Amino acid sequence: MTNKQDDKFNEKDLTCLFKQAKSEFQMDANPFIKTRILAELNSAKPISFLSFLKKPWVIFTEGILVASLLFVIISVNKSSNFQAMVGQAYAINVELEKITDQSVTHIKIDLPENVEFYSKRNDSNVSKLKSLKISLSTFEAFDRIPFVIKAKENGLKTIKITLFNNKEEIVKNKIIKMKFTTAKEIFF
Amino acid sequence: MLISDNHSLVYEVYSKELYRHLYFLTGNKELSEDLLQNTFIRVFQKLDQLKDSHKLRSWIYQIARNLYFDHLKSGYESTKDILDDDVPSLDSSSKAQAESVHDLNFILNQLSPDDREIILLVEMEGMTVSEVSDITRDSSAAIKSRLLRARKKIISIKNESF
Repeated sequence: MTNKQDDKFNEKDLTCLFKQAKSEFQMDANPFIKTRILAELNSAKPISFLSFLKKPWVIFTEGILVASLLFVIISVNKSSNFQAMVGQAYAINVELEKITDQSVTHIKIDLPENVEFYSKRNDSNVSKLKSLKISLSTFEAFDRIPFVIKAKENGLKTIKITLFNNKEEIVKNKIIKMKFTTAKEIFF
Repeated sequence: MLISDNHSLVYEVYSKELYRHLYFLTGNKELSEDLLQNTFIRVFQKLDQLKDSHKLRSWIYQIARNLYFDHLKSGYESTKDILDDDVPSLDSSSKAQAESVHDLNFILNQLSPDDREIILLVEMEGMTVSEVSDITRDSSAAIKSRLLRARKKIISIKNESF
């Protein structure tokens, strides 16, 4: 029952109490929940990797098909920091829609020590590569460039993506920082 | 199973408010994160079964509440036992914000889970009795009755604390 006395808490105060708590609630859920949801969904069903990878013109990705992936979408215009698991393959999608207005013709990906491009067939030629150059024309029909990486050790790793124009001039740099830990450290 | 842009959009639109709802419902950060995660796993696994897209929000909340009440039935620790240790740790500049959240959590923890859910859905999430009915599968009369009871209880707690 509403108490009409001014010094008593009433229904109006109750509404204010909820509104205030709602507006002042600033906690965010663990940002890796989305990744964990993806991992759970991916583990529940076999992956049918992106169908466009089957097309013959996708030279770069031909040897980098994977069976089990976690997906990370990277915008070239935002800083990116991710926590990831050692030994887990990650498909990193670099968003192309953010760079279509620029004169970018190709992209170079540089990997740090103990991070390698991942190949489903364990192709040593792929895993030995420390950098790759990809022509954007290869991906003109799509809005993302996918590549797959896997780390062999714990630690903060920096992946460098450099965007070039047709004169081999650097248009933009993109740094992706991934902190690799064991699954136990992430989930518990 | 690959996550589609639609899935991402659903997560971006509803995860924040659902997390807030679950946090006040459980009074526990870790539990609310677990429930949030499991809710969206189920949502994405069954999204193609949703016939009426206008019911998406209430459907998500329905899945979340089912998981929450399953959790309660499973006999895990009571939220009362963990509430006091789970006040969000904020820096000094946002101490006042933490107090309002803590204050409401303290009050909600003295309600039954059913009453806590109803008052949160109406007062915090701004849902109508009809929308709450879609989520809880209770009659409108039962929801109104529970809502009245919850409001009375909160007013009583606040006035006793003066």
